[in-house]
Amino acid sequence: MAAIPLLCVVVYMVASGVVGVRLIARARQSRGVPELLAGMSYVAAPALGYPLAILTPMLSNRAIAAPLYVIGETLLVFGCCCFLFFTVKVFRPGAQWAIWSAALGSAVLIWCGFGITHAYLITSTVDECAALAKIPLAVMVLLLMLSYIWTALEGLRYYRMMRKRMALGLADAVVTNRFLLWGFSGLTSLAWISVSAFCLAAGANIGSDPLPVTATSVGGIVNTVFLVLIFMPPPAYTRWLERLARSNALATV
Amino acid sequence: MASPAFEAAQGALERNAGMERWNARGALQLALMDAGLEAANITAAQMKVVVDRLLPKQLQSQKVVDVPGACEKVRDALNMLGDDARADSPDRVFSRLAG
Repeated sequence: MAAIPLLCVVVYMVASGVVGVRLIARARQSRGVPELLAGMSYVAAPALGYPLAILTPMLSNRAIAAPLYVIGETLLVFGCCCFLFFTVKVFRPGAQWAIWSAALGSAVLIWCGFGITHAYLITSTVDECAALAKIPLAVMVLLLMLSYIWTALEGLRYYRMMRKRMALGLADAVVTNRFLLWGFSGLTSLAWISVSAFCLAAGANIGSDPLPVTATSVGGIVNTVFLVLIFMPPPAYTRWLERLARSNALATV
Repeated sequence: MASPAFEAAQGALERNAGMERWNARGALQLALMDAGLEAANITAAQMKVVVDRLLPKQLQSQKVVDVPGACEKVRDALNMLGDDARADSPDRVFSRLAG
């Protein structure tokens, strides 16, 4: 049974890696900063940083585990910072409050990453490390939740605007749907992290208790579906969206 | 900051519809809100659709005397602009993300 949640998370990591590499390749062609930020975010955080930060503490050889853990935590923080700036660059490019929020969020994330890494490096047992890293970990989880709420709300706000544009023939059905999926993806990540954070705060083992394990597996697989539909939509899906938009347009004539 | 298309439409309304700056901006902003568009990155092509479909209602509510004439002047001002898709808008970014 334990293999299923692990498989779901591995599928999400692989999908994130594929999507991230494709976005970075696209950014090289288009010279677009948003593609680059999103690509680096997916490659650095869910594809590389998260698995390294989770798996390396399980290694018995500390000489190998310690540098890998530092690399993993650094990539995780870097990916989260890129994600914050992606939201700013796409949805609030000229807003000073958004730029400063992302900068402040990034500074706090770096502080959290430093605190968590420091706790791992100076302690020898899992319990000691968990006690020392408690505050930076809690702050990091809170910031991640806020960043997902922010990006989800921006995606859903823009989806509403795109629906109005569609009624005037000013928006494409597939791109409009992408904003809805982006919003849902943010909410899924938020739900997944919230359940884990709640269980962690309640003293549960998020690696074995049924609630966080189910949340992690469902969140991982649902987010994989969203990633595929947003960044690599199958032709059948885009054709279905276009048919749906045409029939809705005919119904309103 | 508003896009060149928004500024051109606002200027045309001020000059030809006898509207003050803030009334013209307000009428355009309300029309854009109905269209799901933003002043910061609206293009001339999008603004023309707004002028055709949504602006007349806003101008009527502002008691503009010659609504068709004012809309025609705004269209003329927009025709003088090129395709002004200068800034990245969220929909342009999201249309590039897949494919």
